[in-house]
Amino acid sequence: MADAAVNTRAAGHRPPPHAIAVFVIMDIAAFGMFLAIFMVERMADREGFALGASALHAGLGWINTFVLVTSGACVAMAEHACRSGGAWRRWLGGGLAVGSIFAAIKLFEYRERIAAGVRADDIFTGFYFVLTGLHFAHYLVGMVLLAALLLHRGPGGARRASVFGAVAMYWHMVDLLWLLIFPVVYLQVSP
Amino acid sequence: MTPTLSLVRACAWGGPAFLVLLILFWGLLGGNVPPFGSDVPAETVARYLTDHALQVRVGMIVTVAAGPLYLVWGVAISAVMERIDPAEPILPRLQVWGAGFTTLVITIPGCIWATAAFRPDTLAPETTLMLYDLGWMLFDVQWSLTSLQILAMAVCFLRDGRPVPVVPRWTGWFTAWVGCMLPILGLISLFKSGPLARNGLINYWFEFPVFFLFMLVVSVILFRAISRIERDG
Repeated sequence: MADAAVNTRAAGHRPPPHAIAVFVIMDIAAFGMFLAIFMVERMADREGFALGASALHAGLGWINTFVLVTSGACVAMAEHACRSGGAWRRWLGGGLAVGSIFAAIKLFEYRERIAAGVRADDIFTGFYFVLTGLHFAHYLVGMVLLAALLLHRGPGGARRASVFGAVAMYWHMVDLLWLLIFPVVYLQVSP
Repeated sequence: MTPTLSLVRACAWGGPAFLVLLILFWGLLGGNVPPFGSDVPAETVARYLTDHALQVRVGMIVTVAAGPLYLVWGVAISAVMERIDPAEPILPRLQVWGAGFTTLVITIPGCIWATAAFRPDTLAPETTLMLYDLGWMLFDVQWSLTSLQILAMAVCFLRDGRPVPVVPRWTGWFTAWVGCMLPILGLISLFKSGPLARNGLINYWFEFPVFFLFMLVVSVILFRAISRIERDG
């Protein structure tokens, strides 16, 4: 399958997407559904949700958006370099380094939220922790995958290109999920 | 057809049979479509169990009896996994252990709900509610036992290096996705209402259909994989 991907590439066609696309599409659909449920719940308590969102640091969210998009661009450059025989480790290392800022900011934010006190009956805060927590779990898996790719010393070639494509697609999904969660959860206009 | 694989095929029917019995006896007869929310007063739950005591108990007796069919199904999956990569000993074992423990996630809560419906007329409603809650905690919060099973089979399906894999790649990634969706079930212990409560949109109306779909999809590809192994050896 990997060989076929490289051959079609050499012939000037785009390689077929890695089968991880099934996972990625279903994951995005699941998050989309969770966000739709969030919006439905919000209709019942617009003021409560806006109040909850106003306690969040939208500025930190903006920085994290920039961080993830930059990291995604580095990984895209790394994938391109890997396929064309360039210095992909440098780009991938850069993507990991930039990506790690996301964790530092998120953990700071969580610590602050928990210090501010969490009420069990506050549905917005519950949603905040669940949606961003699920995303953070995806992010951690992505960082481990990127690090494994960086540290792997085995033979390159078509197999690495195929795995690289799969990991990069996963990492872009982590980006995209954040781009969906951030505006819906953080950037709410008061009713 | 080799005799060994006809037995594998027979075991593979354990999955669909389990699913039908679970929906009929745990779901419909057991009064779990949908269950009572965690914010429902103890008196309401106790009154329901008092009025439907025999029905719920019969539902749970059959649920507990059907539980091992899940393990039987898991054994058939491991038999196929062993054919996919005969040199790989770990994944089929993890899968079958996960399936075995998941059987206990069915049978033990079933016994606890049967206890809740045993003599609710003579117990304080809060006591009955505690049994009802305990059943749900054991049923949902132990997601990791099932995720272990599902992720082990996903890794095995995806490691298949054949040009045309025995199990299609999309099925491998679909099962991996299901394994990653189950942890949300653990959150029923944090929410008494809303979408993440045990009767909520996410933790009931999303998670349970996803699990049922997983069982259907894996059952279909299991029968196909058995036919292919019989054909190609």
